[in-house]
Amino acid sequence: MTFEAIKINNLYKEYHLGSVGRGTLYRDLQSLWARIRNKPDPNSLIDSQNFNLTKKNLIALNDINLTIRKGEIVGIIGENGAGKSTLLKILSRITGPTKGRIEITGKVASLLEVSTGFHPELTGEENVFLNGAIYGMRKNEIKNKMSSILKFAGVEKFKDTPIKRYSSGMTIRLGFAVAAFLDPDILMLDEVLAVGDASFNNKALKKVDEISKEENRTVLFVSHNLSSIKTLCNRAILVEQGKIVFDGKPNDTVDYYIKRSTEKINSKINLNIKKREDRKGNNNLKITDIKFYDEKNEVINEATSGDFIEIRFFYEVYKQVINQNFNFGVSINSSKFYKVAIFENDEMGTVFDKFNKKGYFSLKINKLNLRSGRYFLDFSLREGMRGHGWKHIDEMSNAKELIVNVGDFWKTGIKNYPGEFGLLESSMTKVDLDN
Amino acid sequence: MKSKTKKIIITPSNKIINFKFFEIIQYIDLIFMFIKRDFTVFYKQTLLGPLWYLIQPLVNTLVFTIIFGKLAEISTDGLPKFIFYMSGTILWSYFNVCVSSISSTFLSNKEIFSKVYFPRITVPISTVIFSFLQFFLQFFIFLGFYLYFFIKGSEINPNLGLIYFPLLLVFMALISIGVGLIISSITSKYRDLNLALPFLLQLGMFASPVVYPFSLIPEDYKILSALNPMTSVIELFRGMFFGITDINMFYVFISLSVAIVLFIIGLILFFKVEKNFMDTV
Repeated sequence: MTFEAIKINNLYKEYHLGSVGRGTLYRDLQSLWARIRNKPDPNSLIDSQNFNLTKKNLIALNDINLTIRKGEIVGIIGENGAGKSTLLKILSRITGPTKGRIEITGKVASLLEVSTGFHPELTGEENVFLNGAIYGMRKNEIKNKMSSILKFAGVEKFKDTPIKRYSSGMTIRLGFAVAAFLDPDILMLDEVLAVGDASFNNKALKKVDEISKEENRTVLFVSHNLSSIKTLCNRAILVEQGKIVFDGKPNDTVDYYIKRSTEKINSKINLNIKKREDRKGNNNLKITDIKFYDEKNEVINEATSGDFIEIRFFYEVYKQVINQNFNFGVSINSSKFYKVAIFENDEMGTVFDKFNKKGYFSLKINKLNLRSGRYFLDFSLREGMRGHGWKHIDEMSNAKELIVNVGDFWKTGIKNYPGEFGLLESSMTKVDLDN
Repeated sequence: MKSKTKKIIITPSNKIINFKFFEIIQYIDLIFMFIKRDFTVFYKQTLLGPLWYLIQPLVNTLVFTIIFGKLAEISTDGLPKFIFYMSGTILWSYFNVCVSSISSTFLSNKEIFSKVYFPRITVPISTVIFSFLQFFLQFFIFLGFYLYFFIKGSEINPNLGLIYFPLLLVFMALISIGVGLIISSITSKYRDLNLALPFLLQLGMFASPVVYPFSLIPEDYKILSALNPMTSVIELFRGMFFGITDINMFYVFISLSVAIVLFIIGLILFFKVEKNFMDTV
């Protein structure tokens, strides 16, 4: 027998933008005074005569109707800002809807982030009690699961040690373990699996797989990782501008998403980067252009496998960056949106501090180890502590297209075969053994 | 164990006071975990641990005794100065601690609030209870000095009003929650108020009969003073324990009405902010 686990009817979510009482008391009083005198509000972004009124409200979710049956594992995909996370936040009751109605049948656990509410001064065991209680578990329930939780996280020996002495990996593992043993009917996940070390990541994925395979468990899974959506889910939904635009088998949804995204990228990839609005961060420093150069320092439009390439990211500083662990990251994605390479200045041992008004970051690849095809570049500029309160300065996905032409990576005189894959400096031999 | 029929309905909330009693009962363990956390953290982070709770009122009382009692020679209604100031100090200290911690409910918990759902009101509830732990520690010290002065034969006359002492504590908690919730709601929007709060609380102390008796207030201004509900709490306490107070039922009634109004406004504002807070941070 199947029945509905989640039923969403006509769900809307609107965010107010602009001058709606943000900031200081002084400004609010100023607005109030203006209203009393029947004068236009000096702090309003747009007066009501203006046809731009829609700019004041951002409709994050626009008439969502969705029924999820018990036992389904549903993946939610979409671009940043499409509304996936808002949907999950409303379903997990962190924020309320503007309009509409949702019915949820069963115990819900939402893991929008693990190890929330951990206190550094408390011991591992105390934190499990606290965290479990935050997730709505009763004390006895936690007591019964305590040993399994500590064991899964691999911190049995340190249960009486304050969390502040834990490594970040241990903290995350413990956080995940608490969540994994919640034993809910409906589980909501938001890319939590991207944390922790590789071996634990596998363990975590296996656990999610295990949890979701248990009978009658319903799972909602928001992710950017299209391949994990394909392997974990049995239904996938594509959200775009607050609407569900596709709902079907994971493979179909992912294919549709790739098609849509490619169309979209094609429409903006040739735009001036400086003027593009699809960026994140405070934009104190902005990437204004990206150009490719060959070893003779001449601009090239397309690259060749096995050749030298320098990628220059030109920047302009609008407000001095504080330079706290400044991080510049670049990733190269295939046309199917799989990341094929990531570069980060901090792990390469380069420190960036003190910026002039204008300049460029240079990324040099001595031997471009990509097969021919169409790739896209993402960049991100951040400062602060990795993973803990990152401050985004400027970030853009699919900022520039990189066409790689067939080349001769191994210098053998034979052209590389096409396909959007990496190439590794290597050799191949055959060894015959006597028998 | 798992109830198959448990149903959650999510709709835009239009309730003015969205106080879900049964849900809060379900989260009772969480309230105790918060209290335990606050206590453990306080205990672990300080050199002297809970001793601070005892040192602070003693030092305050001593300072008041010297400055206001000996130097300024403000009347204490004929009571031993030390015990007079101590009574005001421990009551005000409860209010002070309670209001300052409740007022940061939203700002200091925004990390958790943005990730997990649980009834937000559990946070101020646990604060109120936690502050009582501190209050009782200080109250026992007070009782010690109280007995000392009583045995010594000072002008101290405990009276039957003492049976209402638990009610007085409820009255005090009501005021603290009300004011705390109001400030927490305002600071979620105007963060600068958080900086002004210690200063405002200090002013509030001088507006309450902590370092002077109610009898010292000119007759015409007594109503004004009673609008501050802490006035009644402190004076009633002195009435119960020392048998000397100048307050009467009329002023207590005013204070109580103000307290109830503050409490209701606090709840309304809290639930209003709770609804939209996550969208504005």
